[in-house]
Amino acid sequence: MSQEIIQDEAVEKESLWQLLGPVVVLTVICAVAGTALAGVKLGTASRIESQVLNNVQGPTLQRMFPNADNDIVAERKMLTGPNGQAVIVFPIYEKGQLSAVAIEGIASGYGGDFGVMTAFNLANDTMNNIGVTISKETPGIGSQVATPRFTKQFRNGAPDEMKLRSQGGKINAISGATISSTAASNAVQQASAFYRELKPEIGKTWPASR
Amino acid sequence: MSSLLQEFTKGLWREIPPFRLVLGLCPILGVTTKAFNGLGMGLAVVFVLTISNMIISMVRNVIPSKVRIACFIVISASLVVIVELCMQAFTYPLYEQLGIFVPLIVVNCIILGRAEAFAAKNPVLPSIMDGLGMGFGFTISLVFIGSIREIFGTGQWFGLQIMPDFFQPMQIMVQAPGAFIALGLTLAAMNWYSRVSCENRGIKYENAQHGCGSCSACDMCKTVERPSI
Repeated sequence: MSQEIIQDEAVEKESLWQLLGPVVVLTVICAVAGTALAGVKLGTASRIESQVLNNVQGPTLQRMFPNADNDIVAERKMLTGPNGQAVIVFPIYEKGQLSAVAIEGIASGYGGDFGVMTAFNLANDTMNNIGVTISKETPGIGSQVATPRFTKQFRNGAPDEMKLRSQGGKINAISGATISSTAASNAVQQASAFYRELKPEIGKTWPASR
Repeated sequence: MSSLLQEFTKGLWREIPPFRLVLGLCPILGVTTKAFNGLGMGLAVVFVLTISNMIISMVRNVIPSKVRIACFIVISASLVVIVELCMQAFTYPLYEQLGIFVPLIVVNCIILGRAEAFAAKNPVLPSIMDGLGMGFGFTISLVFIGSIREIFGTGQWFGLQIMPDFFQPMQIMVQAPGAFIALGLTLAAMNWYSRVSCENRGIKYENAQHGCGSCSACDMCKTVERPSI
C-alpha cells in the first residue's frame, strides 16, 4: 500500500517537472542571456559613442566645413534642450571666429532612424549646410536624399523655409522618395528647434573668437 | 585526440559548410564583395559558432527537448548581439561594411544546424572542435569567394593592386550576380574534382559518402556500402 503511494508521488513529480521544466529552463537561460547582454551593452556604450563620433559625425562635419580651424568633434558640448533632453552641439571656428554650430536632428525615415547634421550661421541665424549622418533608406530611391542634388537646397536659407513645399517650405522632395524626403525635412526642423532654444546658451558656452 | 582532430578537419573540406553542406548561402552571397569582408564575417561566425556549440553542449542534458530550439536561439542570438556590440566598439568600419549581415548571423543555418545536429548530442570538447572547424571552413569559403570577386571585379586583393594595368575589372563580379556566378562555378568545380578523385580510386561517385552533416537520412545510407569521398 505505502509502496504504491510513493510510486504515485514519483509519477506526479515527474509530470510536474515535465510541465514546469521547460518554463524554468527557458526562463533561467533568458535571464542569464539578458544579464550578459546588459553587461556588454553598458561596457561598450562609451566606446561605441566615440566610434560613431569618429567614423560618422566627424567625417560628415569635415566634409561640411573643410576650412574649420578647430577640432569640431573634440570641442563638442552636451547642452540641455527645451524639454530637458540632452543635445550635442558642435562648434565650428573659421579664421578664429565662432562662425557656426552644428546640431544633429533625427527623424524616422523609411528604414529606421534618419540623422541629419544641420549647421547654422551664428551671425544671421540662417542654415549653413546639412550632411546626412544616419541613413538606412532604400538604396537608389530613399538614399538619394543624401546626395548633393537634395542637400544643396538647404544651403544658406532661413530655417523656417527649410521644409518640404508640401509643408509650406521651399524644399523640393525627391519624387518617389516622399517618406525619406519628409524624414530629412523633419530632422532639419528638429535641429532648428533645438538651435532656436539653445542660441542664448551657445553664446555662453564657447567664446566668440580666439 | 585523433577523433577531436577529425571533428575539426571535417569542417575544412569534407563537410565545408557553404560548398558541401550548402548552408549559410545568404552571407556568402551578400558580404563577399571584398575578401576582407569575408574574413571579418567568417571570424564573427567562428566566434559565435564555437561559443554557442560549447554552451549548448554544456547544457544539453538540462534542456528539455520540447524547448530546445528556443533555448538554442536565445543562446546564439545573445552571442550575436555581443559580437555586434564589440564590432561597433572596436572595428566600426568593418561593422559599417557588414551592416545587416551581422545580426543575421543568428538566422544563419550553420549555427542552429550545428547546435541541433552536433552540439546537442556530443560532449563539450568535440563540440568546440566542430564549431571551430565549421567556422574556419566557412571563413575559408567566404575569403575564397570574396577573393575571386575582388580580384576579377576590382583587380585588387585585400585592397592591394595585384592585376596588371591592362586588366579591365569586371564590374559584374562585385555586384549581386557575380556572387551567384562565383558560387556556382566553385560548387561545380568541387563536384567535378570529387567525381574525378572518386573515379581515380575506382569508386562510383553516386555511391560516395558526402558526410553526414547536412543529412539525417541514415537509414537510406545503411543499405549501400559508402566509401568516404
